[in-house]
Amino acid sequence: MRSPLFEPSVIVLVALVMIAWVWMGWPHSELPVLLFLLICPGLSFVQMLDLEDHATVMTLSVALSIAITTLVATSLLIAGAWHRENGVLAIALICLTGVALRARQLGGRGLLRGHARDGG
Amino acid sequence: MTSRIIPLVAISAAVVLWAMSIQGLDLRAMTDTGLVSILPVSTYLSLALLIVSFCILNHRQDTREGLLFLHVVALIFVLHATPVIVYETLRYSWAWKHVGIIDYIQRHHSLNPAIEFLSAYHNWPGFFTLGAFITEVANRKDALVMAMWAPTFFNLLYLGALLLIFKSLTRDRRLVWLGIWFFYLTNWVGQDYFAPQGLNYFLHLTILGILLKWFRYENAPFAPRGGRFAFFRTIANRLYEAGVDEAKAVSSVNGELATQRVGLMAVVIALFSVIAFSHQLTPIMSIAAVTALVVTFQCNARSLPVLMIVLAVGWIVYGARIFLGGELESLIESFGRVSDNLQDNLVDLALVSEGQKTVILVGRGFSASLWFLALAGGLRRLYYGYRDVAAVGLTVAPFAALAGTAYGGEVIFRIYFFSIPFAAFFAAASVYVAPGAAGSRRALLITILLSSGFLWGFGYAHYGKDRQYHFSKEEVAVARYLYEMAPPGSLLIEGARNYPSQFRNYENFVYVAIDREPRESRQSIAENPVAHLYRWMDNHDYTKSYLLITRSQKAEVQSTGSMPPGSLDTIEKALLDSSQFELIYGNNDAKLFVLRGLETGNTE
Repeated sequence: MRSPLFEPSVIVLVALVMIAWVWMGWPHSELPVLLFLLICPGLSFVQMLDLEDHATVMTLSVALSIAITTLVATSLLIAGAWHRENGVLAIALICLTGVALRARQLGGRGLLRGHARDGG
Repeated sequence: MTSRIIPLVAISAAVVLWAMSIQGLDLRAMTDTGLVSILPVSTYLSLALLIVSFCILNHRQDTREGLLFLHVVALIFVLHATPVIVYETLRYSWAWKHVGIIDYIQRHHSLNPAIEFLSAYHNWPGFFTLGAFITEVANRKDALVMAMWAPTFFNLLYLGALLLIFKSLTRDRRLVWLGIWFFYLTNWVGQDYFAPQGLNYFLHLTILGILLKWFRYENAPFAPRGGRFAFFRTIANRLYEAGVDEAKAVSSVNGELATQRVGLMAVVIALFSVIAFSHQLTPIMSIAAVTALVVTFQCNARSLPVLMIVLAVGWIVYGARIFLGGELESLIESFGRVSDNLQDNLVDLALVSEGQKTVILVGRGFSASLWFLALAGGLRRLYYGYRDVAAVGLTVAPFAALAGTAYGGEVIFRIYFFSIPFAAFFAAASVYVAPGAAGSRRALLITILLSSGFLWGFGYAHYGKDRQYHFSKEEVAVARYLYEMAPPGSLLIEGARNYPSQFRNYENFVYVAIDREPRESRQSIAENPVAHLYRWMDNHDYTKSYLLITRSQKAEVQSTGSMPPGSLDTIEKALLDSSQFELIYGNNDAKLFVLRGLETGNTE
């Protein structure tokens, strides 16, 4: 069985890489950025639902990611702040917020301490 | 082990055979029956292999779902990646226009809800802002590559949502996967291209999947007691009981369901919020579908339709008020015009070419076959004691769009699109009616025959108009030249609307399509094209005037019968022979004219 910290860790890592990329200059390969936009924002919240079926988790994550990215992009456009850097940073922050809420949820269940004791 | 290796070998062989078969096809040999007219036998062999392998695998009781999943993914690639690889350009004229809206956002970093052309897209911009954002993040100049692969990508997305829905409707694995298989084979209407509806459809299906899986009633909705509404309560409880066996069997009820539901409802609201500002029609379809589930007591989120209406109307009043101001009259007029919406779509077969007649008749027969089979499957399920209230409601709900939209005949295709998942489910039920029902060899043979029949229909109905829906690189080169060099305020006269159009700087033009002019005007142009078109183009209200005639325009005019056969060829020849017109950029497939002495350019 996979650790409950697996998805949050991956999302945090990817979000931080995105922020670093935006900070240092744009990546040459677009694929990681696209995968980030289409999976991470949704997954950071869907993981809190504790769904068992992986196909369902992925479907909901992609759907919610599309919704979040659309909402962010449209908000930036309407607000006159259209810049890809702004958008990627906003979405990275949304991902980190989702992970923080997940950590709080797991902490409330005592899973974080339990996981640490197990050597995870 | 062998049971897994053989299907994997079959999938691999089918994909390799397909990939080899579509290399080097002669697109100029395509007739008016479209892509199927040039596909070699090996393409059909690869599909036959895929069909037989899937049907045998799905028929067996001990099959792993992963293998079925791979078959469906392979089918999606074969059906939807073929035009991308064969044509190497974006298929379908409207997809080019959608790329043009993204181009507008990339250049202006804003929207213009009052813009003269394609203003609806500026008023429901969600899909386009997402597309522009992804294009920029992906470091692309335009969205053309993304648009080319959109049908394949969207159909892959649908798979996850369909699994969620079908597994909420039945426990029968064979019915689930055959329903999905039939969905892909019968989804011929081409509404899954690079367009707001293609993406919003995925969000719509996901919403339905969530509601069907997690928002069913756990107990009868009303306590059985007397009083004034006793009859109503009894009906409600009966409807609930009709769907309860399957619903309870598949719902993942556990102690944390209440917490999950809060989160899932938040997801539903987020998805619908995006639908509400991304497309005009999908909100109506979603509201109709969710209302159907609520009123038949298949969904306990009773306030959800009201919230959805508030969100949809809220966006119209706030975000699309400019569009609404201009279109309100026609929207009110169209409300309730069911028969007009039906009649608008019936193409006059006397006007179209022989090949197109075949394509249209196959499309109609194909759709009728699916509905007939779905009816048979539904009745068979009923006979076996299943009361598929939710699926019936969701099959019927899209018809609400007949009464409440201004889409004209186009709405028929949209209704079909939104009904297919559930029609396909019932069509599959005509073979696999219940989990315990015997899996005879006859059932296996029927699934193979039905799949082959659907595939044949799909080939004609979906790709039957590809002589006009595909664009050669030569056409694209001329269109690109025009859209990049023409100054703002130009007049563009087009033979027809069907060509790679409006994908760059689209707001710089006023568009006039010859084939959409009134009959008298078209007749005058056909009789004396040079004099008539000279008068149009010699107009100082415009910065410059251009006239574009392409191969795909000619193909459309020929197939739809909007002008007599050869009309655009005659006009083109007259302009080439005229001293008053100058060809500024042309090749075998497209020619761009201006009035002589006013422009210079390239002629290949």
